[in-house]
Amino acid sequence: MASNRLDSFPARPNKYGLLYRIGFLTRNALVNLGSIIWLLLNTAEEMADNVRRGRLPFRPSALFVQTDRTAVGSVPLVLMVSFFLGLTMALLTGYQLEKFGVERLIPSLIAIAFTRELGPLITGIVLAARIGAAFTAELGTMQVAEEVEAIEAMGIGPLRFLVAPRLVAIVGAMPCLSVCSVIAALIGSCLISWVTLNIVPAFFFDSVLSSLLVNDIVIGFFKAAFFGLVIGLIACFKGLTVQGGAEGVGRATTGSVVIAITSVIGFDSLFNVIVTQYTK
Amino acid sequence: MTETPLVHLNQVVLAFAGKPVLNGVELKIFPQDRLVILGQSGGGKSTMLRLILGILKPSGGEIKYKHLRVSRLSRSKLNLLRSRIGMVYQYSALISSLNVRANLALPVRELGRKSESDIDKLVEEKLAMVGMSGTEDKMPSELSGGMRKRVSLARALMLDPELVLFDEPSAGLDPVMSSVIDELIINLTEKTNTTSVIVTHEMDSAFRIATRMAMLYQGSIIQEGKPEDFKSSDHPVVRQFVTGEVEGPMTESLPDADNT
Ligand SMILES: Nc1ncnc2c1ncn2[C@@H]1O[C@H](COP(=O)(O)OP(=O)(O)OP(=O)(O)O)[C@@H](O)[C@H]1O
Ligand SMILES: [Mg+2]
Repeated sequence: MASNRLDSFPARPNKYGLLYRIGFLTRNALVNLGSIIWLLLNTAEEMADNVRRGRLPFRPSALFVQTDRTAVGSVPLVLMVSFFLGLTMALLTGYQLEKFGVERLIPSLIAIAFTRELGPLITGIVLAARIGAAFTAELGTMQVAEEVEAIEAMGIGPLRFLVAPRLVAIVGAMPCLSVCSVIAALIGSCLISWVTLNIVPAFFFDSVLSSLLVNDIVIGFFKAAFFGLVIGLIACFKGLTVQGGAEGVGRATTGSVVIAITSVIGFDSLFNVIVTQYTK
Repeated sequence: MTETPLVHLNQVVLAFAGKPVLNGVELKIFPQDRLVILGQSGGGKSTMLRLILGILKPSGGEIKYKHLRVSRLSRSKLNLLRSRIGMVYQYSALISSLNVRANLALPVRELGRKSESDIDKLVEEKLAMVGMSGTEDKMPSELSGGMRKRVSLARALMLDPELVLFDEPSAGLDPVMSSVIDELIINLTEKTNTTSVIVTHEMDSAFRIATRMAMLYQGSIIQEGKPEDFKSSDHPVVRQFVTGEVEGPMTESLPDADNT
């Protein structure tokens, strides 16, 4: 049997042709996308089932636990990353803008960039690495140990029990953390502008407030929530579909982080292209 | 036998990736039976239990629970059905991040409407039944394999199921505890009219528990009937299995199994 397979190996060179590979990857991507949408719909359906029976979709305490680790636990890291990123951005753009004597534009530049763009993006990347990985590893380990099946066998929908609280927690956490990120970035850039460019904090925050539009804030908010959904779905999907024991859990966790970060950046670019098209 | 069966596996066929595991299994489980399923390791016994729970779908034939077709139920009906069946997994399958109390409370909290103090009482009661009182606050990782098995048994009984499926309940238990579990299974049917299906390799405990037996061999049920019939069976495979001899049709077919 094994030798048969080896014999036919060179007879199918097409398998490694470029076209074949593109087709294969595209098909794979579409299948995965379909499965992730399936996961979302089925989670919603299981929750609705419970509501129809007059019960909460999941126990509030499960949501508190997930929110605590997802949101509260991520605050320090998001603050730190954003603070230094804001600081660096102000520093670098400051040197450039100083040449033209327009360094007073820094506050509005940072404010708009972070509320619309970098806040949700940085938060998304941090949460994909910190929380998405944890979701995948946990659910993957449970899957491997037959725990997910046992939950299913008891008649408890595993999607509403395991996936729903995690999804709700991360979708709720993203906008809040994104706000934290913006604030930290503004503080970081304000401090460095004060030290290196002599922009006083009072002026800095004045021009932040006058340059921000409600639109930017709303867009940033929705983007963050959407990224949360994407990260949560990818992480849970990867976890529940683990195959191959401990090594499989490791592979799924790596895959989950890579795919989630790529998707967040991809959706962000798509979003920007569309939004700038229609809001000019 | 005019009684309607609780579960009816009707010519069930199942293959994993083209490899047939069950090949037309025909089996009826009647109310208040204690049906022991015998069979070789890797023969598809756990798979049969998964089919009854609707976790796997048959590729042919059908499984009926009372008058319900398990593979055609909607998700919410299937969940309702599953909550009436208890399952004791071969490897316990306790939730490793929850302590014993939370593990036992899980089905009641998620599916029942009891208050927390009632749940606590119920947890204590079921733990006492399996001889595990006082372990409420332990994590599954702090328990031995046999202790986990018993906790898992207690969990299966939390919702007072009408059918309990035991996947090797006494594997990994000492002889005394193993008898305790056997006794518990017998009591379960005699006192609460529960039906049980027990997969086991231990012939002593099989004959102690069983009111009926069925032998799964190469994907189908080759003999089914009273325990006495099994002791005096003419079927060479059954005889070899019951007596545990090395020489016989099972061991002769082993090299064959390697080739496929
Ligand atoms: N999810 C699965 N995917 C592929 N093959 C599987 C799967 N589950 C079980 N099998 C195969 O099905 C066969 C029967 O497995 P099963 O676990 O039902 O055996 P068993 O009778 O319970 O054995 P044991 O007494 O050792 O527990 C085995 O050959 C196994 O390799
Ligand atoms: Mg088994």
